[in-house]
Amino acid sequence: MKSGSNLEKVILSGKPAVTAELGPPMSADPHEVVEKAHKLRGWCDAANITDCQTAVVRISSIAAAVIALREGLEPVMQMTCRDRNRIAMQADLLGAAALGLKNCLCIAGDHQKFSSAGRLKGHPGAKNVYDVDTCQLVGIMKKMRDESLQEGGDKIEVPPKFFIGASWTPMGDPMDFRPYNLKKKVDAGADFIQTQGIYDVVTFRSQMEKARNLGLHERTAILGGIIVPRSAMMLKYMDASVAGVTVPKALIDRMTKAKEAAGDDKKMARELQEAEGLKITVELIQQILDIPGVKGVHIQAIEWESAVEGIVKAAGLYPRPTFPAE
Amino acid sequence: MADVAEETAETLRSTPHSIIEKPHETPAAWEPNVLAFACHYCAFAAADLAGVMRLSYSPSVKIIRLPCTGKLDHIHVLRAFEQGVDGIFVAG
Amino acid sequence: MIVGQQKPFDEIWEMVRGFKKVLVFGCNTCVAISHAGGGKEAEILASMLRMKATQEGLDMQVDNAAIERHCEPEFFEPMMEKVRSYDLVLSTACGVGVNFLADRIGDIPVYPGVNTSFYGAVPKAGFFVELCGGCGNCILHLTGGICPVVRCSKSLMNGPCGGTDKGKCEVSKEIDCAWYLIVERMKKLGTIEQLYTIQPPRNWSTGTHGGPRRLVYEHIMELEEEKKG
Repeated sequence: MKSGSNLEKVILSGKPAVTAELGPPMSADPHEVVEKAHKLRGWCDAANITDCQTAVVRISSIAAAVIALREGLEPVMQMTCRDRNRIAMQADLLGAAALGLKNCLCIAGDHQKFSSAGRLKGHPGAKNVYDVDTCQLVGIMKKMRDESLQEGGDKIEVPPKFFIGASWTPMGDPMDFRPYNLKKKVDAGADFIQTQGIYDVVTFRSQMEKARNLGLHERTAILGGIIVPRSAMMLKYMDASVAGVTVPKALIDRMTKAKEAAGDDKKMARELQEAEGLKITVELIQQILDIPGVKGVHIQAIEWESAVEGIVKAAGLYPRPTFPAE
Repeated sequence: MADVAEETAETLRSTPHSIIEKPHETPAAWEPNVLAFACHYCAFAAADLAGVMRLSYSPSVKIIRLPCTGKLDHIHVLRAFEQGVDGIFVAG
Repeated sequence: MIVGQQKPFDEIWEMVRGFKKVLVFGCNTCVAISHAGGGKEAEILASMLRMKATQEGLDMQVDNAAIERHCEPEFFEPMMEKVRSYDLVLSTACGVGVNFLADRIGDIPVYPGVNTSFYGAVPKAGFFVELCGGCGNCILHLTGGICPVVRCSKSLMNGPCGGTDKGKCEVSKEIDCAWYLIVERMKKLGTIEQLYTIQPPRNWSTGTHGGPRRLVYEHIMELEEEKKG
């Protein structure tokens, strides 16, 4: 056992793992984190606590992760390369481990110009860091854990024991390089991988085949990413504007049909689309878990945490495995 | 096109007045002081011909002959404005 | 070369309006190519400042001059006496020129008329692109001649992030994803396998992160001393 986290135990048990996502608020009020944690706990093995996603200031991932942990939800803290140099990263990792965090996902982070795709002011004039990239951060974390050494070579008395994760965008450009991008993260030491949201299962299956040919599925646990769709508009937006995400026309058509079935009744249109979205989600989970080498799913119900319970039950993934306390 | 006109009008409306130069009241007898840069081979020759034909034009236009208007430099134009010329006419 | 862009006129005017005798001092090397601060641009700027002063009713003398290069003493030594006769030098050289002059001029202020933008090239007239970050530790042999330090918005060293979309960067559709270009070019060169090796964390101290940089060739300095002595 590398970290002893619940997520690691589930993955080692061989059962499909389920992770979810919890976005911290743009506020110093912890209640939103507490509420979201209550909605998610018990329905997933761990939940990612995003690190200022879309380059907007929110409660820090570590702080929100500790709040979630107190509420009985195992967190996966996230660490972007955008905001910290290697000194701050390692200091935060020591601190996070000292606070009891055991999972960490390494990501490059949305560029500061992104500012929530222009919906918020953000901080487009900020200076970014990018001292190290995701691959290098994974390596640093592994070196700290397995060799008790800092990146610079100084000894660590009590090393932080993290279950190390990295993201993967299997369908991003340049697509033929993406399996090797994954390989580098695995070579660097990624214990688990969470992918960008998948709607195009056919292409994902072929990318997974390439990953399997490189033997990566045996060296890391790949969790397929699923972004729960809520409306036809959301699917169209993701298809057109989110990098590395393509949505097959059939899915957009299904959602559009659900919307149109409601006629002018806006409330009903929302309900019908949400119901269709949940159906699509469950189908995607089953299709993705059927792909050889996939070890679980990462369900992102953005600002719709209450949906996770129903999804996990309908997908036959409940109850979640539990392990006796050590 | 209507959109462009609308946009331009909107831009003008929203521009602070301080950065738009106020139009001056033009006295009734005022005539602009114009400097013409004319090419030796065409426009200046035409002006010459006008003279031969005894045609008259406003005395507020002064002509400077250039071997070619391609020789006209930014600074000639700017210097003219600095000296108080109201308009520049380049013909070639 | 160094690419610069002239500062907005109003910003320049705010800098210079309090001075009686101003020299707009151009540099005829890099910033002349980028239409920002050569002799021609200095001349035009000086004329515009004179007109502005007239409009505002201020008594100001604004002259202009230019030399070939603001980064080597040989070029501006012959001009120094003239330069020192002004209250303010508005330099339209790059930041190197402004600093170099400020270090030498004495008690006269030197203000920048140009924003020094980047090290770039001119793919076509009127179009400049940044191609080098001056990081002091070149790795172009590992990346197909395309620089991830400065052409990737996140300076990633091990491949593209998830923000690549149809070969463009998440920062702007106008920006090519450097990693897309690197991968495509290295496929053509037959060297794509080089990219499968992990690049470890970089030593950034060769860049601006190691404090101001300097380079010393002692044998050349000695030779110069001998010539003088």
